[in-house]
Amino acid sequence: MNTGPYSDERVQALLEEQFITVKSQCFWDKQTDLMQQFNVKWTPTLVVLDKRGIEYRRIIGFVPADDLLAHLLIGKAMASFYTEHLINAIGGFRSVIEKYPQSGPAPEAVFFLGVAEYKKGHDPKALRKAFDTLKERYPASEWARRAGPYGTIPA
Amino acid sequence: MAEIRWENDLNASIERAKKENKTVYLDLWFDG
Repeated sequence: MNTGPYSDERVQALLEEQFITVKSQCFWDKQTDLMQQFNVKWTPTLVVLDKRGIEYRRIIGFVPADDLLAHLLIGKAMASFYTEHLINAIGGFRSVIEKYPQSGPAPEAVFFLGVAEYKKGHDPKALRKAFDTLKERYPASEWARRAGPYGTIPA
Repeated sequence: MAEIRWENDLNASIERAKKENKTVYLDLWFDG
C-alpha cells in the first residue's frame, strides 16, 4: 500500500517511468549492510543513485509529494551535471523550476541551471541570470546568497 | 492508483538500472 507521498499519482508515475525503486528496512538496534554503506542514522533516508550506484541526492525526513518530485528530478539532473551531460542536466534543472517552483529544491535548481548553462556555453550572462532570478523569486534563499558574486557580471 | 514496485536487492536494481537506462531510488526506513 502506498502511503505519504507514495500515494500521490504523480510520484507513482515518475518513479515507474524513470526509476528503479528499492526499499530496505533499517533497525535501531542492529545495523544492516545498507545502513552501514549509506551511513544511515535517521528515518526515512531517501537516496537517488545513478546506474553506477553513485549517490547524487539524499533526503532525510518526511517530504510531501511536490518536494519529493523536485528532489527526484534534481537528483537526476545532478547525476547528469557531475558526469558532464550538460544538456540533460539543463533540461532537468529547468524541469524542477517549471514544474515545482515552490518546492524546496527550486532555488538550488535555479543556481545550478545558471552554472550548467555557463559551463556549456561559456557565457557568464547565464550566471548573472541565475543571480537575477534568485533575487527576484527566492530572495531569502541561501542559493540567492551563494549567487551573490554573479551580480557583478554585466547583464 | 498504481502500486509502486519495490525491489529489495540494491545491486540487482543497479544492474537493472543500467539495462533500462533508469535511475535508482533507495528508501531506507525504520519501523517504529
